[in-house]
Amino acid sequence: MLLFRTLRAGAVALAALVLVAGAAHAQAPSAKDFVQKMGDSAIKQLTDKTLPDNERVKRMRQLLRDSFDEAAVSRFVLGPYWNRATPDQRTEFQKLYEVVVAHNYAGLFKKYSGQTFQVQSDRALDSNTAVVYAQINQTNGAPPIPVEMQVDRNDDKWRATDIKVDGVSMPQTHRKEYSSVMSRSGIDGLLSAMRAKAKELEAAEPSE
Amino acid sequence: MLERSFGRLVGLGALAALLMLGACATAPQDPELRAEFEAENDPIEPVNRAIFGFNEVVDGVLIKPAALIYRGVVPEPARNGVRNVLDNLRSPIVLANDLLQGDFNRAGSTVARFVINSTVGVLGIFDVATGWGFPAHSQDFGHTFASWGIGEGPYIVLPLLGPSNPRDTTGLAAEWFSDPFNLWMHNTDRDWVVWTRTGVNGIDLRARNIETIDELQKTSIDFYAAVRSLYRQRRAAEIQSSQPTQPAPSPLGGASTGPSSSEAAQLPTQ
Repeated sequence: MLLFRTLRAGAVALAALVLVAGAAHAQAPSAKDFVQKMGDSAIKQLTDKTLPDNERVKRMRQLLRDSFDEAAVSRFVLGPYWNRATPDQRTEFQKLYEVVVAHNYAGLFKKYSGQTFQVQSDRALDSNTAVVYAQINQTNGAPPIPVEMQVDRNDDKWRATDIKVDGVSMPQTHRKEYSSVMSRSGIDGLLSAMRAKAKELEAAEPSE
Repeated sequence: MLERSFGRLVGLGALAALLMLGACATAPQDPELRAEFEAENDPIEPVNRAIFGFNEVVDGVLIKPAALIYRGVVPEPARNGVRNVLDNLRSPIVLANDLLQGDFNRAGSTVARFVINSTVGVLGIFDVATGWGFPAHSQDFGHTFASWGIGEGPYIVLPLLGPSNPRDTTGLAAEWFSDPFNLWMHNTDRDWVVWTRTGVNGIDLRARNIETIDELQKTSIDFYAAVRSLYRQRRAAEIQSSQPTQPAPSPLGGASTGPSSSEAAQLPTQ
C-alpha cells in the first residue's frame, strides 16, 4: 500500500521535525532567562561585603565582557565621534569605558542589602532583539525600581546592548557626558580624561 | 513672603543669566558634531555651570551632611513615615493634575489614597492605600504641561532647586502658589511650616540618593553633563508613565520604551 507507506513516512518525518525543533527550543535560552541569570549571577558574585574592592571590580569587568556587547555599546556611546576615531582610539575607549562602568556598578553592588532582581516580561523587537522588563525589589518598603534591558542574539548567545534603571539609560547618559567633553577637547581629550579617571579609581580601591 | 522668596530664587538665576548672556559655549565646527552638540539645547551653559557649581558647594557643606545626619539619627521606619506624610500632603496637587489631564481613573485613585491614608493611615504616616490596590503615582504641573503638548525648552539650572527647564520651572511655581496646605499655613502666619516641609522634603530626597549620586560623581568626567542627561531622561520617563494610555504593556505602569523626547535613548542597532 503505497498510500500508507507514504503517510507513515510523512508521519515519521513530521515527528522527527517536531523532536528536533523541540530540542532546539529547549537548548536556546530566552531573552528573559538570560537577563534573570545575569541578575542572579551579579548578586551572587558581587554583593559579598567581605570581598576586596579590587576583586569586586575585576568580577564586574568579567561580567560586562561576558554579558554585554561592549563593541556595540562603545559605538553607541561615541556616537558621531565613532567614525572619526582611529582603530586604536576605539580599542582604548572600549577598555577605559569598561573600567569606568565596572567601578560605577561595583560601587552600587557593594551597598546591596538584600534586594532581589526579578524579570517580569519581555517584548520582541525582531527575531534577535528583545527588551526585557525587570524590577529590583527593595527591602525598605519603597516601590520596586524598574529595570529595562535591551538584548541582542548572535549565534544563540544573548548580550545586552542597553540598560535602563528607573527610566535612565546608562549608555545614553555616558554618550551625552562624553560628547560634552569631546565637543571641547576632542577624542584625545576624552581619552586622556578617562585615563586619569581610571587611574584615580584604581588608586582609590585598597587591594588588601 | 511666599511669592517674594520664590521670586528671589528665580530672579537670582535670571540675573546671572542676563549678566552672562554673551558667554555662550562654543560649538564644534564639523556639522555632524555640531548637531550632536546643539541637540543638548543648553544655550546658557556657562551660566548653568556656574549655578551648578554653586549648588554643588551648598550640597557639600549643607545638604548632604544634613541628609547623612538625618539618615544616621532617624531610624528607617520613621523616615518612611515622614516620606508618607509628605507624599500625602501633596495629594491635592496630584489630584489637580490628574484632573487637568482628564485622567479620571487616576483622580479617583488619588482621592481614595488621600482618604484611606489620612484616616486608616493615621494622618498619612502609613501608606495603607497601596496595599489596598491604590498605588501612588508621580504627578506635577510639568507633566500636565507636557500632556498639553508643551515642550521642555532649553535646559536651565535653578539655584538650590537644581536641574530644570522653563516648562518645569513654571510648573514648580504653579505648585508653590497653589498648594492648599502651604496657602493655609501662609494665611495663618505659619510660614515656618512651609519652610520646614520644603526643607525636610529636600533632605529626605537627598538621603535616599546618597550612594547613587556618590557613585555617579566618583566615576564621571563631566558631572554637569551627566546630570543634565539624567534629569531629562528621568522627566521623560516620569511623564510617559503619567500618560493615561500606555503604548506598550509595561508590567510596571512605567518605563516603557517608546522615545518621548529628544533625550530618549537611541539604541545601538547592528
